Amino acid sequence: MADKTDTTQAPKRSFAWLGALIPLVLIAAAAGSFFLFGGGAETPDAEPDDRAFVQVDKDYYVLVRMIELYPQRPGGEDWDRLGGSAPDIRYELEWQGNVVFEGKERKDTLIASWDALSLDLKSAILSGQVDLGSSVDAAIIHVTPDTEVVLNIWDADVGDKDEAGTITLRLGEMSPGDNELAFEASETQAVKRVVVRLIDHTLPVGELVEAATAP
Amino acid sequence: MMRSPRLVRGLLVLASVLLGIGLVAPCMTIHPDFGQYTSWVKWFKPDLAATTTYSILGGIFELMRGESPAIGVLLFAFSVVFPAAKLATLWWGMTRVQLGQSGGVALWVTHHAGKFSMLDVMVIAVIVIAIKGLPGGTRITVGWGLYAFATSVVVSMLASHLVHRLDVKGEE
Repeated sequence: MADKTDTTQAPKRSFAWLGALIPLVLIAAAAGSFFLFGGGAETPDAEPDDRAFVQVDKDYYVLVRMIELYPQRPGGEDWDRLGGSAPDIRYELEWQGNVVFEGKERKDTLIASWDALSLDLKSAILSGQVDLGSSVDAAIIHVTPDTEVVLNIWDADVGDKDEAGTITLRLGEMSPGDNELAFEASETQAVKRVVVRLIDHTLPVGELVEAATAP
Repeated sequence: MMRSPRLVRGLLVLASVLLGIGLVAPCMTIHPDFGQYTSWVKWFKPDLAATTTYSILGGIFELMRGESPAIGVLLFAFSVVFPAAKLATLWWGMTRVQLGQSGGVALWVTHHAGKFSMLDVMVIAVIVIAIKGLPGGTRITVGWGLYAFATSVVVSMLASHLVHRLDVKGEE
């Protein structure tokens, strides 16, 4: 394979070599554009968006998965007047005038989250049994079209509690799975965001664990 | 003779764009399944049980970050560097041929770089895994990024063939 070039073609040779950059630029541009506008692929896939409403006349586990508070209390004061620390968040669910569930305290945080399942390993080991139903940290509520559950949230201080807000959850208008609710700060409430998960109480154990532990 | 260079350049542009997209688009999705223990794994190790989609590049970087950096580097060389180098040298060779020069070192590099392309090995490996499945019912489904990648390599092979033909014609 004889090279047909001569010395007069030297500038053309250098131009030809630079042409090699064109595919590289195209590859980088295509990859970059897809990454920027199409999103990366290395993420756990999102759960399918099931916007169907809950079925009425059915029992559901109602779990409060997450509560976020505004940086100031209702009215604009600091949560902790002395130390400047974040609130110790607690909540309870009230249904038909009765408190049906109380969440465990989450200390010094503006965003509190709760796991849906808790396992008492000691008791499981001693008894050799696991009661999965009682391991679900949630209230069981019978849902009708008009069911309302009151979510009371507060900052638990020693011997005192500072109200963060009270939210009425209309379960008949919610969907199975996670329901994210956002709120504006006001003089009476400082709750920014709440995530409530509804799970069909009649699910078989396997599916119940799956639904309760979904990210 | 003018039509073929345009065709080759068109093919090279197509192959480059497809390669770029194919490297970052979803290539495979792993659906973990642990049989009767699936629920327990989801309970105790939810990350392990999550359905995850990888691109070719993402999978390679995952290997590099994890316990197999050497395999990651090897795959990066054969699946990213060589196909890109092949397209670059093809364009270089095409330009030389168009200028009335011999393809020379550019097409020599193209010829040899192409041999190291891992397309066949990778595609077969992914298909075998996808068909055969994994223990416990775990499944792998192939994403469209793999098809974009494969099409890019096939188009670049076609372009390579045309460039070599033009080079031989030029020498005659």
